[in-house]
Amino acid sequence: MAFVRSVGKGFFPLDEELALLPGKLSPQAHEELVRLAGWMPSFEKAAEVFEDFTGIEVSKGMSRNYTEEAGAAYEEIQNEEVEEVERKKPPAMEGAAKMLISADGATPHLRWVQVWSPSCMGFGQKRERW
Amino acid sequence: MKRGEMQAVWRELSGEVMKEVEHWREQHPKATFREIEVEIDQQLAGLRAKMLSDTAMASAATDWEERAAGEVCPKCRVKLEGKGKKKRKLETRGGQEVELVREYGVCPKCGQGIFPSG
Repeated sequence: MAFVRSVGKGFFPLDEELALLPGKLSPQAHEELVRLAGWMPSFEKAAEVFEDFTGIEVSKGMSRNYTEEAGAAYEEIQNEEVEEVERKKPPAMEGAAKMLISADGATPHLRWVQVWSPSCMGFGQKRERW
Repeated sequence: MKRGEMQAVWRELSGEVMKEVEHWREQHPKATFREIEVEIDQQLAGLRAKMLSDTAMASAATDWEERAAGEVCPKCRVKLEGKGKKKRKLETRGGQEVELVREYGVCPKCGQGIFPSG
């Protein structure tokens, strides 16, 4: 059996089995609040809309805390994924001694103005003979 | 609560919900669809919360002896002690409360809150 640290005092097997999160909201309500607060312009507004939709009263502070905690947890997951990719990636090929960048452009004739627009950019490895 | 008992309670509650909705409709013959939606959601919210609570509690993990007896604290390596039952309330849709009553235990040495998982 694996162990994870909780915020409460005591060992609660049922909470762990049900994957309950700390706090007063059910997991579904918790997720809905976080998703709303992640998109809406303010935590307060998200709390208001959440209450309208679910009938559950939450404060602006709770809206902020839950969302920031979820954001931090997601960041941790992303960092772990990056570390995993970096651990497994093949070694990079050796780079060229010199590289060059070449920009090209076009001048479309519009009715009133002329506009120069970069249409393509090439990256290449400098070779001794072309 | 056993399986048969749960079903009996839920059936009774569903019957009450249906009666309430029927009665409400008689009182509100010109209700809009939106008003009907709101009323039915409100009526079903209580039944939903009761079903959530009963279903979640129908687990061996509510019982300390069944699930975690013999486990040791990962920090102190001391056998955990069962401490009886504790209530937890969760809020869910419709502003309803779901109550969970489950057994718990603590490490007699550090008393830290570390949950046994899976």
